[in-house]
Amino acid sequence: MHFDTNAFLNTLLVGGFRLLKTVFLIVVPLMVILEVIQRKGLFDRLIGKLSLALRFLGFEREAIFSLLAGFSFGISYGAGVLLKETKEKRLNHVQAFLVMTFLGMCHAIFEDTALFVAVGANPVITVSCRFFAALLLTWLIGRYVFKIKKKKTAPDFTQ
Amino acid sequence: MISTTVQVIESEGWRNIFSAGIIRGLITYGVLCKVMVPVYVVVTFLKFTPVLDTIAGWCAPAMRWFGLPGDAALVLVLGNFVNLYAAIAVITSLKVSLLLTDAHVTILAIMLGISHSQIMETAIVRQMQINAWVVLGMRLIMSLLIGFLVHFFIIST
Repeated sequence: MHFDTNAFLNTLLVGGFRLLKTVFLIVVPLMVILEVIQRKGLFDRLIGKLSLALRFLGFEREAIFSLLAGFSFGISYGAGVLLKETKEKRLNHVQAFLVMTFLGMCHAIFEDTALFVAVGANPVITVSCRFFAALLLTWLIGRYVFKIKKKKTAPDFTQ
Repeated sequence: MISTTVQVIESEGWRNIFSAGIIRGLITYGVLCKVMVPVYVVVTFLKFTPVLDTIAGWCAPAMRWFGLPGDAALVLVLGNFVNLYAAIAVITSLKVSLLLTDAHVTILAIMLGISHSQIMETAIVRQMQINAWVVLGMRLIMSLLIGFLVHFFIIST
């Protein structure tokens, strides 16, 4: 068995430093940006505009905070907000499940995408595929499993 | 440790926000290096032995469904069992050896984006009193399904 030590060390050092450099250049600026967003409350304006779209998917208005947190920062953040909302009874278990369904497939979008783009992925395809897959599954489950439908007429009280 | 450090720098001033962000970044980076460096060293080492090629050979038939080479199985396994940074370490190692193209990486990015860090993330879902196995199953199935669909309809390799 032939082990090429020279080539191994070469790959190790060249690629290794490239890896360390790439991740460094993503993680540190990203954390700074996320810190700014968190501290300056830059998401508040976004929330109102998103409410309508979210209701179409089957989400209640209260779910938006955990969705935004998870989408931007990561599943731990989204889950943390979700836990708080469910404990304080603002969200029921169905909503929690739908949020987890969406976030499970599509969280920390900035961080994850940046990471893969740095090693060569196409950002547009990556983000859109993930996003639409998450949207589709969440909508399907909301509609066909939990039977959440947009009410078009007034509820029938005679039944 | 990260949260207590950040709490100390309480003020809203830009300089403090900036410092807090940098510290958070550096600490996070340090944690990540502890995963990436061992993974990278081991994978690169194995690449120069017959081990990786053998494993790649076993996985190649399955990986072909996603338009990926057999080595990509290692990326998917590490991405799911450990985290994305381990997966990135493997991708970097494979790219240096010219085994992965950008198209491959895009497909992997989508598949891993949908399903990664399952051990840690399933623990998080558990806390929610949601059935973690259902969420896990959904993510795995969707990861494979979307990987196949993306390869079939969008990215050919």
